Amino acid sequence: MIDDLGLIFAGAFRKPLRAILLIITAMIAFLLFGMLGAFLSTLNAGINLTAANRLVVANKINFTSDLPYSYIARVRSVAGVTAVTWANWFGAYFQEPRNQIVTFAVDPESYLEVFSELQIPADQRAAFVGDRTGLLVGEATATRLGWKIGDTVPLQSNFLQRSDGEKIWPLTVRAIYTLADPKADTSALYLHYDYLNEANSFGKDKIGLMYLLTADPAQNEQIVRAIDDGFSTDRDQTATTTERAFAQGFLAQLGNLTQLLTSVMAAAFASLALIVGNTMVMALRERTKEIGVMKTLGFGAGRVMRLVIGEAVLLVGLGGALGLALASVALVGLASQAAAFFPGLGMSNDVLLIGAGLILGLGALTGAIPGVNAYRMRIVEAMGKGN
Amino acid sequence: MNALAQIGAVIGLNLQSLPQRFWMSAATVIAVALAVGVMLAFQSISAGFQATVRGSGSTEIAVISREGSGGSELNSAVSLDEMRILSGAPGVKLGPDGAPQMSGELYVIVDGRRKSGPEKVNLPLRGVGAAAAGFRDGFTITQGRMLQFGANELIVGEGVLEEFTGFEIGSVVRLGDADWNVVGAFTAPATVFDSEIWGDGAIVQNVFDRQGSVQTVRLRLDGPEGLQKLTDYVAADSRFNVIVETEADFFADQGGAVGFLAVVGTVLGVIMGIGSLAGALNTMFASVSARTREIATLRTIGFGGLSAFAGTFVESIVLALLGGLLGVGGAFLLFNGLTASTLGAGFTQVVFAFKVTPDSVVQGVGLALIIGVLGGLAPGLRAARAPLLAVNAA
Repeated sequence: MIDDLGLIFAGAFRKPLRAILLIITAMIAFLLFGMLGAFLSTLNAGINLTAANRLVVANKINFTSDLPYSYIARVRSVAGVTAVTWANWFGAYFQEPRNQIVTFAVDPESYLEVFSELQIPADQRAAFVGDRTGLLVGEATATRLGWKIGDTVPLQSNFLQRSDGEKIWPLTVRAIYTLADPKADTSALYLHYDYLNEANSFGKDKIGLMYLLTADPAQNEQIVRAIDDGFSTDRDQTATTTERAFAQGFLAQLGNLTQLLTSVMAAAFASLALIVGNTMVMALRERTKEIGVMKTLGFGAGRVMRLVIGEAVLLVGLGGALGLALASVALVGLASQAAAFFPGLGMSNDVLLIGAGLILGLGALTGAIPGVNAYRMRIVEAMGKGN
Repeated sequence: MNALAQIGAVIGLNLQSLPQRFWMSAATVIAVALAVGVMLAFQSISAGFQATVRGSGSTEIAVISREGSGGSELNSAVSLDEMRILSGAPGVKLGPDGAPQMSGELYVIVDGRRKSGPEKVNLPLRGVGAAAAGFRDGFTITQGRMLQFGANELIVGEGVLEEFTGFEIGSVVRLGDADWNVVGAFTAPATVFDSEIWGDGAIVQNVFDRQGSVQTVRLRLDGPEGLQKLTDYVAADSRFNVIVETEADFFADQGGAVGFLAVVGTVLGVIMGIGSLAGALNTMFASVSARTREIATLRTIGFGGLSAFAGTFVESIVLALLGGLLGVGGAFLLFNGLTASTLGAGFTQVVFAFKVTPDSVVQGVGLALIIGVLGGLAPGLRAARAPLLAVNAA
């Protein structure tokens, strides 16, 4: 086996320049795969975070239309609902309208009950709940903007105005939350609904979305129907969905991003497979006589084929590993710049694992044609060739 | 034989021998085509979206929106009091009836469904008055009839009909707590308005609880100084809490989010271009080594090194340009004019057509040319330096 590895290595680097160029081609393909794969998995991360027993209630017109405050109590009384909370979109920006930050006005106690995955030290939690102008900040945003507990941050809203005419909503950072999954997005901010509702100049006692927990995901369908039917004769009707469907629907608004990214990846791999495959075929043709000699020396057809495929896997593997490493480094650099509109961007283990699988698959595929040619090659023909 | 004729002859030989290296050459051509195609695909999305958004604004129209609303009609609000004061503002063109040309409009979001998928998407419902149509260049009713003011009737943009279901002419849709009859379709070609649904502003106000305000006010300016006069008037009156800008400026900033796709496209194109360059180099080195004997023979009978270089160099450029043209042509056939929709600044869908611009065609061909030149240089030099005596040993 050691001998075979040596032979594979010698064969692959028989022409060093060609080998290096092949490695570069593979590296580029896997660099693209790594980057696009990370974007895709970040896009999907929000969906994977959703809880199966969490439902979202929105206005039937559209989720941007609001609902009356009185609906909270009515939803709470539906059988099978264990907890209800609500959130209003705040449209926050920091200093300049360009610096938008995802921010919701929530009812602190019930929100932290329904979204129990938010991890907050007990003292900070109490401080946030107890301060009407307190702000709960995600770790990512706190790090990005250098906010610390006790800081007063002047947020503005691009659609809410205070009844006293002031544009700035002063808020004090009282707590910083993290999430167990380090890849999860911790960029959102939360302030008190009561503060918003009191100081806001219009739309009092309106809520944006309701989130509720059900006793058992199996009851979801029945609860969805109970809620939506219950409001069917009211002025504001509701549309209730699972949190997952809601998140997917939100992503679908952007258009078919997933398909776009996957097509680019496919194009990159098509190029790679063509170039590597063709070069391997050509490289082997030059070595026809050599293979004839190996077979004469008693190398079995299967072993020769494995050697040839091994060369392809080695070259694609070297390039692929370099490409994935390069992608990981590039993503670290990009993550801070993309934090505002693409939070949580980074290389994930899934992407690396799929990448490793693709390296093996592509190596084997591109090595297959020359490998089979080598397998079939008869000594007499091989030795008879002119050069 | 003079040098030019020699070069011509060798280039001819190189190109004629291409079919012998068919798969290798084809791989290079396709790799270059894919790099160029991916670049153009992204750029055509960005260019198409921006053309639609920017084409929506006129420099002769002023848009009044609430300060701090971030350039989005959805976030804006203008009170009826402000609107009343605006009706006496200077700089505004008067209509035939002597009243200022003014259109107060509401903008609310309703649900639609893409024809291509089951998910709900945001569509804009614009509450308009009789003046609104006159503020859109090229506004025409394409099917059915104009909505009748005072009735629960809707007209829908051609873009909405094309991309979404649920608003077919003749259908009754429930928006808010009212039923609406879809009575016609309109177009305001290649603008965001083509992706909108229009209803009577007064009824939208009632159904969606927007009494006492509109979202934006459009005013037709009476000339190049109109905007300044209007701005001064608004600045001098403390009752206003609005910004005044031309409609062109209002929409100019809104293409930004999708503009980054053009950058992504260029980056992807260059990265894939480097990959295809590596492939092109391999192809060209292979081409040189396959013809080592031929090149040496030519040199022996008096051909110069320059002609050997030129033959390989031009072969590389021809392959890369073929790839470039294939990529440009493919992008043109596959993407140009393709319609799609994505979220715009109003948090609603904007229907737009992909646009392969002359600029990106030049960039695509340029990328191919760079690959061809870089891919031909080193192999060309190797061909020019092929040692005459080593040939028979090979």
